[in-house]
Amino acid sequence: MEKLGVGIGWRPEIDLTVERLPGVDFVEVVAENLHVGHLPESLLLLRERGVPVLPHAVSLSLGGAEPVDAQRVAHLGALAEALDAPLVSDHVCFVRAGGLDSGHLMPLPRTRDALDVLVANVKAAQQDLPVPLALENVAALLDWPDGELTEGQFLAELVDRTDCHLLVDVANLYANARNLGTDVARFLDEIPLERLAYVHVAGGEEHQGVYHDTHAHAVRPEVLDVLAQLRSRVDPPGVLLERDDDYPADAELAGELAAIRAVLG
Amino acid sequence: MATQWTPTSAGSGGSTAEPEEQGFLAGGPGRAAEVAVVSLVEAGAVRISRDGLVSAVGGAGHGIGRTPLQTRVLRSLPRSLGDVIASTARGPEAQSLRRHLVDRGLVVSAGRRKAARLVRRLTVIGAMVVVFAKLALDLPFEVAAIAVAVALLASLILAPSTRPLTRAGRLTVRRLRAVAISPNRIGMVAYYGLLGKVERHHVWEVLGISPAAAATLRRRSRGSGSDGGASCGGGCGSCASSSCGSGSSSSSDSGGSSCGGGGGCGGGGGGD
Repeated sequence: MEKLGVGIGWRPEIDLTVERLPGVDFVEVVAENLHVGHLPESLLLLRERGVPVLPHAVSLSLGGAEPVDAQRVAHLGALAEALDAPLVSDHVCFVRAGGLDSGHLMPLPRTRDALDVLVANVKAAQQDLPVPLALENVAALLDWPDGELTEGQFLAELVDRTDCHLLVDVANLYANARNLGTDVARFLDEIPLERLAYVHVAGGEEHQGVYHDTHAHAVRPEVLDVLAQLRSRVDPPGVLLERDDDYPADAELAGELAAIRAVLG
Repeated sequence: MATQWTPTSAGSGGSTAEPEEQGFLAGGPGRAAEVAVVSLVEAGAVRISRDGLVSAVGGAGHGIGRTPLQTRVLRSLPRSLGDVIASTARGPEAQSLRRHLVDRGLVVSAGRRKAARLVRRLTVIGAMVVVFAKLALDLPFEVAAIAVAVALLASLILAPSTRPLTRAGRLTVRRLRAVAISPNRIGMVAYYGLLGKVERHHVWEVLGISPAAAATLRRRSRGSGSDGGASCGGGCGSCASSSCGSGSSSSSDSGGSSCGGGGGCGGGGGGD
């Protein structure tokens, strides 16, 4: 996988901040928020500077029982071409079922049947995408019953059967460890780190004993500890800071990027 | 929400004027709103995106030491730059600021301006009646001459009360003009307005605001939306003319401008 460096999620509210922040090697954009024919000036400027812009989808619902929406895949692919992106990504989850949209990234039952559905959908999407696809582990507040695989095993089999890349969100991994008892070390041991595309880092907060991956709070040291555990196993091609609300001062964002760089060494 | 201007909330006192007060004097409530937004940007409390979306910066202590106008701006976010300024200019905080400036003797109250205009008109009408009477009824010339002289004198005496700013207000604007230069960014906004020009550059350009963000600002037409001429804001400031933003000398005491001076560019005053 090509080296990406350290990046930050590009959002319209902080476009000038992202442009000004020192040492931003790449950015990620939410694919559903962009129109191929009307790309924001800020993104075009970043591309002119040679900064990779990676489209990140949230609505393919690859783990859903319904066939993948070809239009959503086409949009993601068109965006990748318009931005000359080296890869695109979405999540290991479903967001729609029975005509309803959950509005959330819902976790999948870790059964072989669910894996078969996911693999079929991922392969269908890959056929229509012009660039490689990376898939991200989600933060879950529940585990479906009768799971047959650990999360790490589930992702490993997914990669093995589809040849997709992995986007490891260490904040989601931390959230699952806190809320569901996921074994971080085992997760990292089980996933094929050689297929790692990049890593997400984000902030969150604890509310009534449950950790919420809000993307609206500062990154916790515990999340950076998970990043350090990953770093002890592999040198990730890229690490990206996600912030989606209550954007702090430029200096604070720069500080969080510096903290990430410090962990990477 | 604090809406009353007090020496504590606005930090005003003595004969000096705070930036929002200066902006109001130079360009009306819209200009004061611009000053409020830009001062928040300068303080790192809000940011403006390329498209002109104004959003609060997290953890910037929004309730601490803010003026009522700034507090209103912060509570209205996220919103486009033009909308923030227009809505802030229309708000009760801007009206409170106007009353505060009237109390300080810098702005002529709406009632006083209205009364002065009425008396001037009546005086002129009276003089015309006397002249007509002289011609029709063969009144003595001395009577007609005295009546016309009284009318002229009354008109001259009442003239200052028909302007939006008092002499002290115009002097404040004149002083502002002298310091509205780089790097006094807030002073430039107060005097020229975001759409005004300094050395051939728009103030928004000097401040690093993007063209798309500046495009959300609304130019005020001369006299548009004036709330009874309560302040200089309504009548000062069409940016349509080439003289806009040039820092015209209309702040002169003897000048007949309806405004205290300034670049005259409202830059989204909207509500005045």
